[in-house]
Amino acid sequence: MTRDDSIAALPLDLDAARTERSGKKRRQGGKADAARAYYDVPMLKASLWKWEIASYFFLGGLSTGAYLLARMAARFGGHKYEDITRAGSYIAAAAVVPCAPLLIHDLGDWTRFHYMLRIFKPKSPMNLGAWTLSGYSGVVFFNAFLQWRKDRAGKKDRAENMHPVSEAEKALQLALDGGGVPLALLLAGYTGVLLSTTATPMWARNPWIGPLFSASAFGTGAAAVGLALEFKDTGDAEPSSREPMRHIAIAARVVEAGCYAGFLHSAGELARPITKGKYAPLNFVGAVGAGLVLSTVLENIPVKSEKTRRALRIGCAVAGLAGGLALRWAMTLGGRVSGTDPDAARKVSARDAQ
Amino acid sequence: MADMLEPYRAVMHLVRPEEIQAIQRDEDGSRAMGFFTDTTLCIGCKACEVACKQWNQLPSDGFKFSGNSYDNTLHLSETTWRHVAFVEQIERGKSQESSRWLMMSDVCKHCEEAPCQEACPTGAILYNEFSDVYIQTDICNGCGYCVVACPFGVIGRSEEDGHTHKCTLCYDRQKGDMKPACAKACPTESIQFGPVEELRVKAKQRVQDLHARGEQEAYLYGAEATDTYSPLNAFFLLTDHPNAYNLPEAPKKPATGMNARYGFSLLAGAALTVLSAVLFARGGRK
Repeated sequence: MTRDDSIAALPLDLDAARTERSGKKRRQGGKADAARAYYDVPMLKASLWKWEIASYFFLGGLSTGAYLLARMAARFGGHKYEDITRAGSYIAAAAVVPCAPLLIHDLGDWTRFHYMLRIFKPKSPMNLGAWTLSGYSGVVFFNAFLQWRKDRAGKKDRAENMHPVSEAEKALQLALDGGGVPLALLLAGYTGVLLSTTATPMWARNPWIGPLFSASAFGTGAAAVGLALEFKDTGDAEPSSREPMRHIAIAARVVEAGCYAGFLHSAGELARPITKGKYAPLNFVGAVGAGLVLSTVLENIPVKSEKTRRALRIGCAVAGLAGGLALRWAMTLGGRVSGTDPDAARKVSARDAQ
Repeated sequence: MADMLEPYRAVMHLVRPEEIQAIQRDEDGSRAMGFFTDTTLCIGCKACEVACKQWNQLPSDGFKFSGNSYDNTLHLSETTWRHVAFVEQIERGKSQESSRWLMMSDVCKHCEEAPCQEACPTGAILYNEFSDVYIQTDICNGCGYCVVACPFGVIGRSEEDGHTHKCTLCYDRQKGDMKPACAKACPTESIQFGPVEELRVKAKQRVQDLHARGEQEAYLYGAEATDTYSPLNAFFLLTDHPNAYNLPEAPKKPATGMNARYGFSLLAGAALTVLSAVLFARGGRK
């Protein structure tokens, strides 16, 4: 790339010139950078996204997790996991209901919410997200409707030992899954990509937020389905059909923990709003403490009584859900703090200059 | 064909096809119009701020005292499209000669590849026929994505109407063959308006002249593409580190590496999905 000499002179020659002029070498490093600050005026504009967006990130993620579990259980697990498919389908549809209203409430001009869909612009993560949410919502609602039909017919047919699913319904379900699974995968993680495609120092180009949100989506989806099944009339014993669910939840936590560590490592001191600031408790007690540590501990306490074990399983699921919610809130609201920090903005830019 | 959307247009705020004014982007940038803000000529009179407010009918930002030199405006915002920064460097050396007072009239940079334009989900932000970045306020739905996408912190969302606003580079005046209000009002030609190509030539000459006259620190900010960012159609001549003026040292497009980030997030979700399929399949056979 050809660059003009006068531009390439930055910043090394600046220091040389200054030294020449003042006859005194300037201190290098952090102190010198601080001297170049413009008072304490923020360099960037803070994010306007608040609780609505954080809640949407949580509910949208939870919905995709529940949906993906439901469809995998139906496709690959068969009749043994029917209750997982049923719970997952309904939870996915219920969790997606508040999503669009939350997003609309966050807008500066809610009467123009549909302007998001006046164009298709995949290079804008928000536009892609709006389309994805629209398509996904349609799929999960339809999926829940099919589930409801099956459930209604199921009682009668089971009594008559008949298979209630017609060929047309099978084809429809296949088409729904073919569209729904990719949409769900995109919806689970695009929210993280959306945050990382900004200039906000804590989020800016951090590659871990996307997979972190994807893993948390799966984890919270599994927790919600697990919780729902606990309140099904199966007594206190955990049926063997729940075994895969436990392993999936553990795997989601492992991936989430890994991505979380990656995020902190990659962000370094830019993550300060959630490691030291106002949102540190939300982050460490909520996202890490409840979501990752407490849920793991509760799951592994060895107790004999079935009743206590059931209580622990419920506690584990609730902790997982609380952790997922705390993670989205800490990330979303922490970014607002990060955006007003001129020191963080200068650090990102200095890093990019090298 | 009858317009099927007609009954809904009034309710849904949809424009009719014939109402859409085709704004053709100046693709090769040959007609690009922009600003060259030469901070060595700025005297801090704030005539640009006032002219901008007046012409664009921008509301007052209140009557607040910041204590930061003469700068009570502090930053660009939805209601401030020109902002004069006052950089006092009294402590720079022992002798009075090395003390100086830098002034800089900041403005939207009108990036050649603008992150706000890429981020905008409604298509409200576009490049107009002068290659300037323009927010169509009647399309903006106030999602706030451009606010965080801008690496210079230029754009704000108005509490009044819920839409985002920023410098239009006086699109209306340009259409009438007039200079933008700030450039017109500037008494020292610190703000120069014209075809960007011509401004760049002028600016390079100015840097050379300044160097020849002993002002070794003068350099251009944003006149040409850097390793991390596109050229700016509103670029600056500065005499200190960009941070001194509250500008980023090396602005970078937020979308850099976005596809890879999509890849990572899809990979994490897909891996867990496949794992659950395997676990269900194994459990189902038992």
